[in-house]
Amino acid sequence: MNEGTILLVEDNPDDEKLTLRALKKNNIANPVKVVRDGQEALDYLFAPNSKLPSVVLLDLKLPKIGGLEVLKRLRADAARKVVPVVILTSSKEESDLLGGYSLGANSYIRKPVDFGQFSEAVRQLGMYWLVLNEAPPQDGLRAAQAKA
Amino acid sequence: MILLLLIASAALLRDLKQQEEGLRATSQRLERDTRLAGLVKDVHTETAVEVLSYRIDKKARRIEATLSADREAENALKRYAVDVTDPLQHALMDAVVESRDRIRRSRLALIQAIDAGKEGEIQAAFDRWRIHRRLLDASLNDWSALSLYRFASASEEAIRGRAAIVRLLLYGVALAIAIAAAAFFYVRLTVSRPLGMLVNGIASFGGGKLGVRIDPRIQDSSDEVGQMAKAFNKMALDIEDLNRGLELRVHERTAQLEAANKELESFAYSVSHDLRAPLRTIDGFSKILEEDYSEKVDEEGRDSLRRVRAAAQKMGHLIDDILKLSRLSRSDMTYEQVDLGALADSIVAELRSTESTRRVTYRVAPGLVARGDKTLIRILLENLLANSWKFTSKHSTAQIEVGAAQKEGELAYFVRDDGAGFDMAHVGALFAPFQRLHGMSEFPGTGIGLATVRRVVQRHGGRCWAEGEVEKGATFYFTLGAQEPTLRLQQTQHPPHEREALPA
Repeated sequence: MNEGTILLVEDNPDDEKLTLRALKKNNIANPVKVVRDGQEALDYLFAPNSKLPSVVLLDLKLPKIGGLEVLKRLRADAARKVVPVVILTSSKEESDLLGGYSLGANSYIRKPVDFGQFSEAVRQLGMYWLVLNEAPPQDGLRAAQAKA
Repeated sequence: MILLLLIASAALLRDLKQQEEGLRATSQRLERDTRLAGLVKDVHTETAVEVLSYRIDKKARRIEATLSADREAENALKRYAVDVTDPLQHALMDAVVESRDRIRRSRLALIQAIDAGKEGEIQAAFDRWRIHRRLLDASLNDWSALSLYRFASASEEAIRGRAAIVRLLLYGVALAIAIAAAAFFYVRLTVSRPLGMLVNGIASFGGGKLGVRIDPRIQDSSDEVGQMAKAFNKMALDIEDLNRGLELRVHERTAQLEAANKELESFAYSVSHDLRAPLRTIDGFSKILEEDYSEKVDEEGRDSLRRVRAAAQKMGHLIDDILKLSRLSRSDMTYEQVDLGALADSIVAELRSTESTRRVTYRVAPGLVARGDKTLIRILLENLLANSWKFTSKHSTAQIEVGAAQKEGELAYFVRDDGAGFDMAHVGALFAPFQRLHGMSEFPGTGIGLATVRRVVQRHGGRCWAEGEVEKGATFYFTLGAQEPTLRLQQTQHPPHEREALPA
């Protein structure tokens, strides 16, 4: 199993706890880094020489800097534009969906109220992004990072 | 000018009448003269015959006859002379009378010669008598000739008079034509043209050019057209002012509406995002309790947790439905021809695939088309058909029918079923959101389906209603409005301050 980090960008501690529980329940043991607003997320992602996460679980409604803005800056960066981003949010508004996809989100998942369904969604996205999907090579990322 | 013409023609007509009278008089005189001349001639021919016979038979009654003939002629001449006014004719008449006297004398001489029986004297008297008779003929001829001449000149005069009348008539006609033409151009210049400009002005005003005004030169004239122009200009100004006020209000309202819409959108966004998050917490942590602490909670506690979770999930569905309804009101509409039959077919096919064991007879009227937004109409039909599908589920067999009928002068589409139906006493609550006529355990649902139907119909400018009876079924009718709603006020494109005057 891929041991890459999961970056969870989530300001709601309840949702954070539920997400972490869902991951644990589904036997996804990858390290999870939790940040609580957009600024923190950018700080983590743009820290020099940091190892990029295998997947970012990004909420949209965040304090300081919104989720779409975080995604936009990530995609504008030569080294970080390849990082898989899954939008995990409550909103199903068309504007959010359209904004997310046009800025280069890899998936868009709406958090269901039913925890059973939520847990299933987390299981599937963990399975896909951490097991099935081949992550972009870290070396390549480094090289791009160095160039940038 | 016309007066002169009238006076002239009156004078001419009077002259003509006189000429006609003169002509008639001369014509009568000519006739009389001719007759008289003939009479005189005849008398003398007769007396001549009597005298010649007397010469042969010497009968005294022949002399008597000549005398009575003479008297006859004299009487005629005397009667005639009474009304002769023409001096020339009088003179010629005198000549005739004189000739007759001469003849009488020479005749008497001849008769005496015959009585005397002297042949030589008879011959001489006879010759003289004959010459005198010739002279009478001559003077009679002169007299007739004068009469004829008088008649001829009267005729000529009458003809000339007629020619004058004809000429005058021609002048009159020419003058009338000239006057008519002048009047035509005058009317054109002073009435038709201003009237035309007025009509053009009103037409272009009606066409939406609210800045149009009638040329002030027309408005300033005091006639009716001028008054109309003035009234029109005042009205146009008032309407333009009103319209400007109206446009201003429309702009204000539009701005308010846009603000309200924005607010609604952000509200919907908050609902979608912020209200669901606590529900997720409630459900998620109840689940955690169930999973991790089930042995520490008794059955009643577990039941309570299940109820908490069910309520949270139900509220989630309700929120989703509210958002759906709100999105329905905000989406843009595109009008096109929609095949209702084909839409209904595909929806029913989907319903059948979810519950393939149901025995439902489905019928749709052929050629069912409507004009409207296809996406919204599909949502409408989905809700109505799902409704029918759901409320017939307790019956072993069911019928669902889609069709159209004329209702109060407009075409109404309908979806009919023979399912659970409803009590008409509650029909008012049917289309309100979250209103349900059946218990959750009987038929599940949030009560948003028919509210959605009503919203779609309202957005098309139509209306919807229902008829039903408990356990006999229900029919849901809807209309889609006569045509696309258009914003007429926004079509006045010219800036209101722009004045436009028609060319003079």
